[in-house]
Amino acid sequence: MWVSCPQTALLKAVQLAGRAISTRTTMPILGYILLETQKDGVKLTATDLELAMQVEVVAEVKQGGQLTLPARILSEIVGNLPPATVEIKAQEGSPQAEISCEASNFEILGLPAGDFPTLPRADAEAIGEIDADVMRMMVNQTIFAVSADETRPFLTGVYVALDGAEAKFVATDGGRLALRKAQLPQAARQKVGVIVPAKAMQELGRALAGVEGRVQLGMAENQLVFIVPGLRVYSRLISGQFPNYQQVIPQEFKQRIRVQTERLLRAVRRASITARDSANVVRLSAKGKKLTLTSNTPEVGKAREEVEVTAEGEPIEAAFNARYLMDCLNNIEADELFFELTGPLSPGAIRPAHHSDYVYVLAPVRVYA
Amino acid sequence: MNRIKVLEQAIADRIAAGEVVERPASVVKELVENSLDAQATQILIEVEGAGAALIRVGDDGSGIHPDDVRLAVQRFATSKIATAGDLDAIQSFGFRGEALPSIAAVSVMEIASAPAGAPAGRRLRMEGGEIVAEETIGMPRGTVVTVRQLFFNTPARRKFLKSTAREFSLLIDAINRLALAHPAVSFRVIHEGAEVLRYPPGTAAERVAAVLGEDVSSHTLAFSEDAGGMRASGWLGRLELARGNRRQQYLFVNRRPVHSRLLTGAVERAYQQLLPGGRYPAFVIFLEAPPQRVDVNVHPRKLEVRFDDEHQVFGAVERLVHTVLRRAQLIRAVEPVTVGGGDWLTTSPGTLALGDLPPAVETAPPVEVAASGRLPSMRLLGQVQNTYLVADSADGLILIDQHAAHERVLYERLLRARGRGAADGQVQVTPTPLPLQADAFALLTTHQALLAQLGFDLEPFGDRTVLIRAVPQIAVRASPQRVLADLIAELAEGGKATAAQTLLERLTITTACKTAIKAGDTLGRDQMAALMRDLAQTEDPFTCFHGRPTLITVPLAQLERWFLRH
Ligand SMILES: Nc1ncnc2c1ncn2[C@@H]1O[C@H](COP(=O)(O)OP(=O)(O)O)[C@@H](O)[C@H]1O
Repeated sequence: MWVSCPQTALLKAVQLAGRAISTRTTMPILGYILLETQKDGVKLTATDLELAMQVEVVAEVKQGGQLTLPARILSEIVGNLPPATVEIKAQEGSPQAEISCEASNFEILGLPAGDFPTLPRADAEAIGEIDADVMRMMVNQTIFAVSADETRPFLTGVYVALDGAEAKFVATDGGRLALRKAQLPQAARQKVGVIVPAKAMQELGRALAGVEGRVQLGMAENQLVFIVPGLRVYSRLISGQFPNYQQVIPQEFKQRIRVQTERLLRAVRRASITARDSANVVRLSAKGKKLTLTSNTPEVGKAREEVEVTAEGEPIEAAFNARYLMDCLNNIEADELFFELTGPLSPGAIRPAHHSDYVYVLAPVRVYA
Repeated sequence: MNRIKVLEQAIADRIAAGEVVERPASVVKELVENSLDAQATQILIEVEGAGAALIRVGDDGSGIHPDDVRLAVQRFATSKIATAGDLDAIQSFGFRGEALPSIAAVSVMEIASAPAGAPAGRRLRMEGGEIVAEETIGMPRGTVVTVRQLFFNTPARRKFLKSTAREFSLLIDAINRLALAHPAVSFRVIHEGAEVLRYPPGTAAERVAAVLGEDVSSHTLAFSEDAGGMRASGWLGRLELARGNRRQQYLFVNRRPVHSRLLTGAVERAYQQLLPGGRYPAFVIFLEAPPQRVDVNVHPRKLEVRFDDEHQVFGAVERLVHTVLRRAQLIRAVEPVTVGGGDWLTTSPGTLALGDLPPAVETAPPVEVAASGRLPSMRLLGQVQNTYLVADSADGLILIDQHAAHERVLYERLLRARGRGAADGQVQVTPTPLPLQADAFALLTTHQALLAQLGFDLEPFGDRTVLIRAVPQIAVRASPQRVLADLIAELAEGGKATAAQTLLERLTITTACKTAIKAGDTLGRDQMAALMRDLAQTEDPFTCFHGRPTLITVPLAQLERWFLRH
């Protein structure tokens, strides 16, 4: 193998692919990046067996071939090279590679490329496509609600459903549920509902930052593949039945509070300073034009915040986990929202004031004294 | 010095009967106590064959009037009490007039004594209790008692002696206990012609250091307080001194070394939760109580004491130890290196697995955690094996067990919440059904109220399922099912388990344990910093409730020793 490509593009690719590496010592090969030549470039692949990232770099291919290189060392080397053309060269079948750029020259030992885990064959069965920007938002608005409870693996991922012209991302950890909908540019080719592990979703969200255009979704050998030009993210799926999320979303409310997101966020943030020890609980109650937030930890102190709102319906007092509130408020991407309450111990819902594509259901905290 | 009188029969009868002389150590103890009662300032103890062949105790005390030496070896002859009333306010070690005759009865004994100002002293030689010789000799003030061929006439007793090494260590222990209580008196022990121990006169602290060794005494907390009408002072061993036996416990009541289940129990109760089961604290405690309040006349060897109000004494001592422990910084130091073994390089904890610290290139600047509560300020450097946090502090390297530390934080949080009524419960957006075995179902439903105090809201649903409506707020990141499974196991133990802890207490512990960060969990910098800050806020930051340490320090001096830097 003999390729040359710009340092900047190579660095980006190495760093992106490197996010999928695993440091599991039992399988050293998972700490390596596989480099394979293509028609007009080189393809970098890294995987931890759950998630694989494949990044393509445009390169001049002088001789085809493949090799693996240790991800961390490769990333350090490339990161420290000048912004010039980098050349990677290796004898056919030899695990040793030479990396050179201007006056720098490295010889690095890889592992046999044949040992690298195989990924599903490239042609995935297309399912549909989503705008990259929208998809990133869908990830960001749901991922934080994923559960960490390994006894309920089906809650440790984001439920991704495509049906007709609608896509839905849903995540819940039992105490709250986030649901983001989006219109697809075209109706999905097939109906799917799969649970994608949180790590894959997180990396996907990251990788999509700055990407324009559309993300194609495909299925390959029971893996979900996200494809954008130059990047493929393969993710294993979590088996199991995702809970019936429809029944969780309150259909009605007793009180509805309209509030500016930023104001509420700041108030919650401040109130949570004195709520940290007592499990981060903030109490809310609204009447007319005033929403009052209080928090109290006897060992720390108390806080009281007032926020200007418009509240309609019967006043309800409820306590919520401040973290739950902030997770939503930080990601809702809406200037104004509705906070709908149904009772001191019944789940409330937060929705953007100007569209109905997002709903965040959060259950209150039962507090004593 | 009072003259010696034979006690009236009535008084003699009131004195608990019993043999004083059980083994060489008890002989030494009785003789040294006599020397101390005689206000000696120097005591020399010579021993051969761990005391079986020879015990000689010489002192520079008041001495005995030449005409009284014969009386001294007679039963119930004492100069220390005269009336029955004196028995209720004993100040001296001896008072029974029993020791010398008992020792004389089972050995070949010689007593030589001269009081101050006397032109000469008197020496008495006895065999099996019979006086075989008496003479006037010239000697300086003081008394020398020589005991040879102990148990020569009681072979059964002789047979019960343990190995020479064991008898010798008991003998030294007896001397140590007395030496601790009398720091102003100098002690020397000569065994088989070689000096094995020398305690120069000094302060109480110097004596503790001399007896226990610097390595030990530097790991103690000195105290001196009033405790329920008594004066208490001494040294409490830091947690790293705890051992699997009670040999490092020294208790004194009115300067008298005693054994007392009551007092030991009170001290250990205060250490409970700070030490794992089966580990006992080290301590030296002196209690000064008005003589009317303690009765030392319980046991012929005077090792036991009785108090007028045991309940009150127990409470006072427990509170005292509790207070001393709670105001100290109790981070364990890596165990002191035992010098002299030569193999310290392998026996000292060289198992510190720091090899897997992430490479320096990727480490972000350390997180500064300001001193707070009883924790010193430290700079968190990172995580080792996703299990321990490593921090740099003025005292050295601090290692933190992330699970134990978080357990402590959550446990106290739950306790506080329980104190307010019940712990907060995170209501579920939709109740989770939990199918159960019939017995588990019955346990959960009968103990619903207890579990509610921890934040659970469980509702029976059909005859084998409970609906989880709310989980403890602290458990939202953990698995409620797993916590419940462990709680069911705990409930199944029911009243059978340790009576010391109530069921609710055990449930609280289980909940904290199962929801805490585990070994193997990767922590971000913020999480690490938050954990340390939360830990600093706790009342007992140094141990988890199982008594395992949460933090350990490797003192700088230790690091230097490891790296052979001196
Ligand atoms: N080392 C000593 N120095 C001075 N007097 C002593 C010494 N040993 C014993 N005596 C005297 O002998 C008496 C009897 O001693 P002992 O039989 O041990 O009984 P007790 O110590 O209970 O009085 C003591 O009361 C004391 O007056």
